[in-house]
Amino acid sequence: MILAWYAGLVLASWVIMGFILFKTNIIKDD
Amino acid sequence: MNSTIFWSWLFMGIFVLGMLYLGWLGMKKTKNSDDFATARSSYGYLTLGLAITATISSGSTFMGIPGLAFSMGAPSLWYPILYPIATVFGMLLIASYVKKFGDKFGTRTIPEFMGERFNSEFLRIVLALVSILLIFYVVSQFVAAATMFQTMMGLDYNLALFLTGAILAAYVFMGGSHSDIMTDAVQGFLMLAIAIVVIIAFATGAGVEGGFSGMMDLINERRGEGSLNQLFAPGNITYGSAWLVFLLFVAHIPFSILPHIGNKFMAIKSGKELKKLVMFCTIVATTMPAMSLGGLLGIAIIDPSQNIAADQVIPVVFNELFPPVIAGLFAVAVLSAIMSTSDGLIVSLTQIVANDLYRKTIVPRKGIDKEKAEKVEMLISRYGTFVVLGVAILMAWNPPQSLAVFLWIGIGGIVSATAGPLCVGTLWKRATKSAAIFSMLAGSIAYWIIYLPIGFGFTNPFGAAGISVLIGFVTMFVGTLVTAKPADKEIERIFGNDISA
Repeated sequence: MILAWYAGLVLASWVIMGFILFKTNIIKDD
Repeated sequence: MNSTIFWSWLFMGIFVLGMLYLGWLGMKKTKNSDDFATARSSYGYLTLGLAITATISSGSTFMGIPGLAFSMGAPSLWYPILYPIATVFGMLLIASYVKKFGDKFGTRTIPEFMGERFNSEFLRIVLALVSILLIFYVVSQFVAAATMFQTMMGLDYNLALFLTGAILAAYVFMGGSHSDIMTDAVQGFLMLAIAIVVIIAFATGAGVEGGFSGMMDLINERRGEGSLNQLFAPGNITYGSAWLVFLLFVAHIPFSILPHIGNKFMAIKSGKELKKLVMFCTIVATTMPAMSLGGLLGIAIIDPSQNIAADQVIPVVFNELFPPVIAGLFAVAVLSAIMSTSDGLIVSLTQIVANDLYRKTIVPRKGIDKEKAEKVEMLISRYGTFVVLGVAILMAWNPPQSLAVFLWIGIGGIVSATAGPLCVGTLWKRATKSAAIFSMLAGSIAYWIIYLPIGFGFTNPFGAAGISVLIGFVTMFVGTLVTAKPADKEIERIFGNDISA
């Protein structure tokens, strides 16, 4: 169902953003 | 006066008093023109995250977008899903640089940041002048506020314009960016609370016999198969194909660099807080536009014989589902959305003159001493608030029929102009000044040629901006490769000791 697909897209963006922010060094802590 | 209107007025009165109090607190924190322009390093991620999310959302988050879901169905959900994701992705690319440059060079605005990054007065001044077009953004918010007061609370349109202007004038005049951020945070909280109520109502199929599945059956029955099981709406200029939806996404990548959003990154306390800020914004900014699900719920709840205007779907749903004391809160949420966008725009518009033109351009040329310059900057910042509001009220008095076109001349022009220099230029140390100038001109001119009726007249602003942003990226990339690499000394000035390009 399309609505579930949309919800998955939003949740995926949270996971990807969390990974980039807290597991890579794109934004430094200083 | 019905009960909902009574509660709306009561909440509105409390809301206005609260905003004035926060404006007063902002005034106590504003000691100089830098405080007024940036509220530098003053807030944590929760306050700023709510403030930024409230700024990104506008009146249409609560009215127009759910209205589109009500009339079109699922394909229109691409916009509320993708624009926040693209915006926070862009934030990830540029927020830390805006913050670092602010701390290192004392930059106060996005045009100044761009000028400093490439050591170019031309870039700063042109972007500042293009940013004046943001006045149409303020006008559109004023029209929305006055229409909301008129339709939901029975107030005269012109009187409502003055009322909106007076509240904004009072708190922005007092505390500039401090007031902007503190009021936006409270407004963002109210908006988020309303959005969560709507999401829960949708998920449970509130007010519909049979709950969620009963609601889905009714939507299918009333709108036909296309409304819920189609990804795209064939023939539609915004949601007609995967390519158009992709352009919608691309158009919003530089959205957070709009002057009234980007300047808020300078207010975060530290790099550590900045990470949490981007994560928090990702969650909240993608949750709030889920308000549009209320448009789908409206299909099932509202009797088709009522024949309501699509924009009114959420207020009608609230009236159907909740007692007046809850429904009355909705008007405050809409006004919050409108004010949280307008106040940041007003501060940014005053800073075009106070900072980008006066402090950075006139002061060094005329050799004006620091103390006198500071006084004048503060005067322009504070009294400029009234000028911006006066112009906005005059323009909103008889809004031009093509207001949306004017609005997107500004927004589209800025995102297209800044995409190459800022999204590519902040990450790539080798990026050159010549390429940045070329990319800015190519992106913005391409946008206006594609979008305006004097060019191709492609009336989908997201599509036009998406294409122009891609043109901006490519010209920045190619322009940098064909021009000489900046001197190591210049790279070091900007990025510090690590000069690997």
